[in-house]
Order: sequence, then C-alpha cells, then structure tokens
Amino acid sequence: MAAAARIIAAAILGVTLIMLGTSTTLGEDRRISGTQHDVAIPGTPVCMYCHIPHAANAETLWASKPNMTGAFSGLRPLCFSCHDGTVTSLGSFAFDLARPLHMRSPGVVGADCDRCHDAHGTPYAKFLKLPGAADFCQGCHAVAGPVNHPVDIDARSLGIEPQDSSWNPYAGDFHGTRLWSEDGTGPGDYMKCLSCHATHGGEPDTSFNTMPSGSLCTNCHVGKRQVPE
Amino acid sequence: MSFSFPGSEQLLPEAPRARMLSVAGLAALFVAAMAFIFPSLLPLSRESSSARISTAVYPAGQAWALPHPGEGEWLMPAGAVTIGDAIFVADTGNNRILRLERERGRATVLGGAGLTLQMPMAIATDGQRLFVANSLAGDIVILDPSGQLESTITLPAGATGAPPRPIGVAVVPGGGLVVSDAEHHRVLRLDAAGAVVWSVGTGARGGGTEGFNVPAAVTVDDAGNIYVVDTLNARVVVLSSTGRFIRQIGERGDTAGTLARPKGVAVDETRDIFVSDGLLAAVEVFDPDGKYLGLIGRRDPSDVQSTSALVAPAGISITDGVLLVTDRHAGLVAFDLPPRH
Ligand code: HEC
Ligand code: HEC
Ligand code: HEC
Ligand code: HEC
Ligand code: HEC
Ligand code: HEC
Repeated sequence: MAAAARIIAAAILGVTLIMLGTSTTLGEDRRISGTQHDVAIPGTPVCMYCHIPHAANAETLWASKPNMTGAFSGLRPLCFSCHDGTVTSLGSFAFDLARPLHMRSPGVVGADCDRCHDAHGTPYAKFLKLPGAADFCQGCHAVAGPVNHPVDIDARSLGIEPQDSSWNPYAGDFHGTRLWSEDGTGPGDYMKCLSCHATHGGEPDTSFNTMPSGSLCTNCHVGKRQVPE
Repeated sequence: MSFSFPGSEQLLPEAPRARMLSVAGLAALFVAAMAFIFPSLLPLSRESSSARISTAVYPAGQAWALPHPGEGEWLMPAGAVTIGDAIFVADTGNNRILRLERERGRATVLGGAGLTLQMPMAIATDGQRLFVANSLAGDIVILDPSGQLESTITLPAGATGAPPRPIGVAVVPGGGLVVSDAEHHRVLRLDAAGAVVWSVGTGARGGGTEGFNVPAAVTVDDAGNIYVVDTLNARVVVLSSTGRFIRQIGERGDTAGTLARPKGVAVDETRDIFVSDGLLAAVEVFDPDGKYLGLIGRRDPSDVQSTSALVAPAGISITDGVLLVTDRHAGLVAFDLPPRH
C-alpha cells in the first residue's frame, strides 16, 4: 500500500517535472525563488538541488536514499545534506539522532519532515505549513495532551519567571522553558506550546520536552506557585 | 598511472548477483585478514560491543570501522587526520577536538575548557600541528598535538560584511594554508603568517571558472595543485597553486560516477581524486583527468538503495594507504586502499 503510494507519488513527481521542462511555471507556483531554499546561481534552475536529474535517462529523481532504515532515513539525509554546517549551519542540531523528534514516518509523503515543513516555501516563517508560530501545534492537536497546560498567557505579568529561560541548541544548551512574544515569533513573556516542547532537540525520552519530566514544571512552579494537585 | 579497484567491474549494470553474494560471504575472512594486517587498530574496534563495526565486504575493499570512543561520544564529527599513532577528530556537534589513541583505544578531549570552538567543520595537519576550520567563529585555530593553542588566524570579512564561515582547510606543502569560506563563496590562499596571498570566487553564489556555490573541503597535492569541493555545483574544482582554474571533475547526478552532494576530497600519491558524497553515501574515485574509476562504501554501486558502510560521509584523508572517512553519523570508517602502480 505505502510502497504503491510512493511509486505513484514518484511517478507523478517525475512526470510533472518532465512536462514542465525547466519547471519555470511550477517553480513560480512552488515559490522556491525568493525563499531561503533558493540556493541557485542567479538565472539557473532552482529545483535541481533537491530533485537530482538522473544522468542516464534524463528522468528527474529523488536524491538517492541508501540506508533507508533507522532514524537517519526518509527526508532527513536530504535536509542534512545542506543543513550539516556546510551550506547552512541552521538547524544542524535537528539531526542529533539521540534527541527526540516529533513523530514522523520516514519516507511517507506528508508524514516526514514535511508534516510540518514545506521545503518549497510557505506563507509562514521557518517553512512551516501552519500559522501560529510557537503555538502552531494547535493547528493539528486540538487537545494539548494530558497536561493540557494553558497557553497564550502572559507569565511574567502573573509573577511567574522560569528559573532557566534560555534554550539555545546551537550552544549545546537544551534546557529551559522559553517565553515568547504575544505572536509567538520571538522572545517575550508569553507561554506557548513551544515553551515546553521543542519539535527537534528536546530531552531524550520525553515528548520532545525542553526539560526532563522531573524539572519541567518546577522550572516555573516553585514556592507559592507550586503546581496544584 | 591509474588503477582499478578489485570488484569495480561490478559497476556494470548486469553485475551478477551471485558473485556479489559470494563476496559478502567472504566478509568474515576478510575482516580476519584485516585484523592480521592492521593489528594496531584493533583495540579501538574491540573497545565497545555496541560499536558499529561493519563486517561486510564492499566492492572496493571495506576494511574496518572505528567505534564511538566510549564515554563522551562524538556528535556528528566532520573530519579527521592522522599524526603517527593518533587520530584527531573534529567533534563538530560537541564543539571540540578528540584525540584517539590507537594503542589504548581511548579518546581524550584536546585542549580542555580553555579551547573554545564553534562548529569545527574541518581539520588538517602538516604532521606537527593541527589546523581547525572554526566555522562559526570565522577563524582558523592552530594547535599542537597536545591541544595547546599556538595561534588563531582571523579571516578577513567578505564583501557583504558578514563574518566568514570557514568549512575547509588544507596545508600547502612549503608553507601556508588554503581555506574555503562558505559564506562568501571564496577560496583563500594564506601565507605562513596568515596573510591572504590570493582569493578566488565572486563573493556570491557562482560557478564556471570564476566562482563557487558553497566551497567546502579543500586539499592540496604534492605539486601544489588545489582541489576544492564545490558542494552545490556538484563538482571538484582543481586550481593551480596561483589560483588559476585548471579543470573541474564530476557532474551532477545520483548514479555511480556522478556527484549529488560532494563533501570531502583527498588525493593520493598517484593523484587519483577521492570524493565523499553525503547523499550517495559513498566515496567516489576519479583519475587525474576526471575519469570515473570506482566507488567505495556501497555494497552494490549501481543500486542507489543498496546498503552502504557509510551514512553521511564528510571529511576524508589518506595516510599510508588507508582512506579515513569521517561520517557524520557512522563515525570513523577506514578503508584499506588497493595497492597502486
Ligand atoms: C530544498 C529542497 C527542495 C527544493 C529546492 C525543491 N523541492 Fe520539490 N520537494 C522537496 C521535498 C522534500 C519534497 C517531498 C516532500 C514534500 O512534498 O514536501 C518535494 C516534492 C516535490 C513534488 C512532489 C509533489 C508534492 O507536492 O508532493 C514536486 C512536484 C516538487 N517537489 C516540485 C519541485 C519544483 C518544481 C522545484 C523547483 C521550483 C522544487 N520542487 C524544488 C524538496 C525540494
Ligand atoms: C511537528 C512539526 C515539525 C516536524 C515534524 C519537523 N519540524 Fe522542523 N521545525 C518545526 C518548528 C515548529 C520549527 C521552529 C522551531 C523554533 O523556532 O524553535 C522548526 C524549525 C526547523 C529548522 C530551523 C531551525 C532554526 O533554528 O531556525 C530546521 C532546519 C528544521 N526545522 C528541520 C526539520 C527537519 C530536517 C525535520 C525532519 C527530520 C523537521 N524539521 C521536522 C516543526 C517541525
Ligand atoms: C540545497 C540545500 C538545502 C536543502 C536540501 C535543505 N535546505 Fe533548508 N535551508 C537551506 C538554506 C541555505 C537555508 C537558509 C539558511 C540561513 O539563512 O543560514 C535553509 C533554511 C531552512 C529553514 C529555516 C527557514 C527560516 O525561515 O529560518 C528550515 C526550517 C529549513 N531550511 C528546513 C529544511 C528541511 C525540512 C529540509 C529537507 C526537506 C531542508 N531544509 C533542505 C538549504 C537547504
Ligand atoms: C501537521 C500536523 C501536526 C502538527 C503541526 C503537530 N503535530 Fe503532533 N502529531 C501529529 C500527528 C498526526 C501525530 C500522530 C503521529 C502518528 O501517529 O504518526 C502527532 C503526535 C504527537 C505527539 C506524540 C503523541 C503520542 O501519542 O505520543 C506529540 C507529543 C505531539 N504530536 C506534540 C506536538 C507538538 C508539541 C506540536 C507543536 C510543536 C505538534 N505536535 C505539532 C500531527 C501534528
Ligand atoms: C507546561 C508545559 C507544556 C506546555 C506549555 C505544552 N505541553 Fe504538551 N506536553 C507537556 C508534557 C510534559 C507532555 C508529556 C505528558 C506525558 O507524557 O505524560 C506533553 C504532551 C503533549 C502531547 C502528547 C499527548 C499524548 O497523548 O501523549 C501533545 C499532543 C501535546 N503535548 C501538545 C501540546 C500543544 C498543542 C501545546 C500548546 C497548545 C502544548 N502541548 C503545550 C508539556 C507541555
Ligand atoms: C514556563 C513556565 C511554566 C511551566 C514550565 C509550567 N507552567 Fe504551569 N503555569 C504557568 C503559568 C504562567 C500559569 C498561569 C498561572 C496563573 O493563572 O496564575 C500556569 C498555571 C498552571 C496550572 C493552573 C491551570 C489553570 O487552569 O489555572 C496548572 C495545573 C499548571 N500550571 C501545571 C503545570 C504543570 C503540570 C507543569 C509541568 C508539566 C507546568 N505547569 C509547567 C507557567 C508554567
């Protein structure tokens, strides 16, 4: 079933790309140009950096995918081939296989990294498919799990200050609950889904939380602010 | 001048399956032979039972894999070089350099807390010192083998004013360095004091004979020719010692003999060119004229789905007939190269 779907998807992709020749039409549609994923030399095709033309029969194929099992499979090798510190160092921590990542089914269209990102460009930041920035999880999850913690509240005005509010995976710092601006696009005072979760780069053996279970709640709820039973 | 890899005839599309299977069947024997020939490397291999030691034979002679160095495992290492009995690894994800002692099979962290690195992407040696491309700090750090900081070369800013991002470094025989700057798409030749002798590249994404689109690993042959992995242009550019474009090697593709995402480069004494490819999960070999010779690492070079000893190969180096591949996820994998003639 899944294999058949993949073959059909691949066939559609191939045919589409062949039909479009240099792919300018779809290129515009796909909006690579002008996005951060436009890595082409000006005036040259923008698609070939992810869709590699087949040397032998001019078919347009996916990048090869050896080692298709395990955590480093599906779209990960392709994304990593640039996000590894060479083409960009952005998000390189997302490939630390010891860290949890939001559930994905490697190689399944729409359920891999492309569950949340569309590499061809989206109206939202970070190539995210859904609006909401640091609250964007709500676009798919109506209920925020058993914790179901309130979000979009100004924590600091309520006198709550995380003891550790920094979280900077680029500096090897994977601890802390971040407070966000009201719109969830940058630092601020608000509680958001991404205060406790980090889609990639969370604490091992958690629901990709930014702190281990033992210290997550007490990072904010201390003293009088203890978590009510 | 050139050579052919044992088994490189399997590159033919009609490669008989049965023979490949029988080759795989010889794996244990081969590894035993390797252990006999290179006993000094064994302690490392034995160190940890969870080690990812590949015992399969791959067409070009897969040899052995050095496991993770136990405690304080490395995280996405990008390059390694050998000095005598020690291997120095750019432990990129942990922002440090590791020293692996072959004899003791243990890893030590170089330099301790005094040495701060920010995403070291490449490492080179002149046999005495280590040169580290400290990518996010925009400088080259020079260390002695004990990890003592000798000096730091701060690279000049590029046209846009953004800090440089060095991701490749090589030692020029006779003095000086070649450094690639991914941010400004240029290759710099530095003299022994760290001053810029020449710079090649347009300052923006480019190609042809003048430019690069993310220049990455660099290496220099004994005649002083410079080899630059031009990552997004899917080629290796050969420059003269004065920075003149001589030729390019490789073309874009995802089949054996083409390049998808080249990462590392090394040149042996016959000037054959070895290129690691992060997407093909293999090392490809070209003769000095750019003719494709064979592929190292994959079980079936013609099948893009076939298993590989490599996962995401990056920096490569050749020392005493051993090709050392630093793989961002599989760790260090060493291949014994066939004898040359
Ligand atoms: C940065 C990498 C990247 C670039 C550049 C890129 N693509 Fe894609 N493309 C992907 C990924 C990843 C997928 C599979 C997952 C998905 O659908 O998002 C994909 C899938 C597709 C599909 C399959 C149909 C679909 O929606 O699932 C088409 C068609 C396509 N790309 C066209 C293009 C065209 C045309 C260009 C150039 C304008 C292009 N792509 C450039 C990464 C890229
Ligand atoms: C559940 C949704 C989700 C999935 C699945 C997902 N991401 Fe993300 N990704 C995000 C969000 C949300 C952000 C922004 C995070 C932030 O700002 O802290 C992000 C950011 C990124 C960034 C940019 C990091 C930065 O510092 O700007 C990269 C690169 C990235 N993701 C790659 C990937 C890759 C590769 C995969 C697949 C292995 C993947 N993502 C899967 C939600 C997701
Ligand atoms: C051809 C190289 C290439 C590939 C392949 C690639 N990226 Fe990127 N990506 C880039 C570059 C370049 C940037 C911009 C980085 C910067 O500004 O430093 C970027 C930025 C991003 C960002 C951050 C955008 C923002 O607004 O900050 C995300 C998220 C991202 N990529 C996700 C992905 C995912 C997911 C994949 C795999 C499907 C992928 N990328 C594959 C080159 C690539
Ligand atoms: C595009 C839709 C989508 C978005 C956005 C999304 N998720 Fe999910 N999430 C899913 C799906 C679907 C599953 C179930 C996965 C499966 O069964 O393959 C899931 C599973 C999970 C799980 C695991 C649940 C379990 O049963 O263990 C957690 C935790 C989770 N999501 C949290 C988040 C958080 C936090 C965010 C925001 C950063 C987020 N999700 C964003 C679709 C999404
Ligand atoms: C105060 C911290 C915190 C905030 C804020 C938070 N979560 Fe969670 N979330 C957790 C913890 C902790 C778990 C793990 C619960 C468990 O495994 O018992 C979790 C689990 C989940 C799960 C998995 C549910 C399951 O059935 O296993 C989903 C889905 C989820 N969160 C979504 C969200 C969404 C959506 C938001 C924003 C509206 C959000 N979370 C905000 C702490 C938080
Ligand atoms: C980043 C800081 C922060 C963290 C971490 C945090 N909380 Fe909270 N919590 C808040 C804020 C802010 C409020 C709102 C307080 C108020 O209304 O006075 C709150 C309120 C609550 C409430 C009361 C909810 C209500 O409806 O009034 C509960 C219960 C709670 N938190 C449980 C938890 C649990 C369980 C965890 C750990 C999984 C946790 N919190 C982690 C900041 C945090």
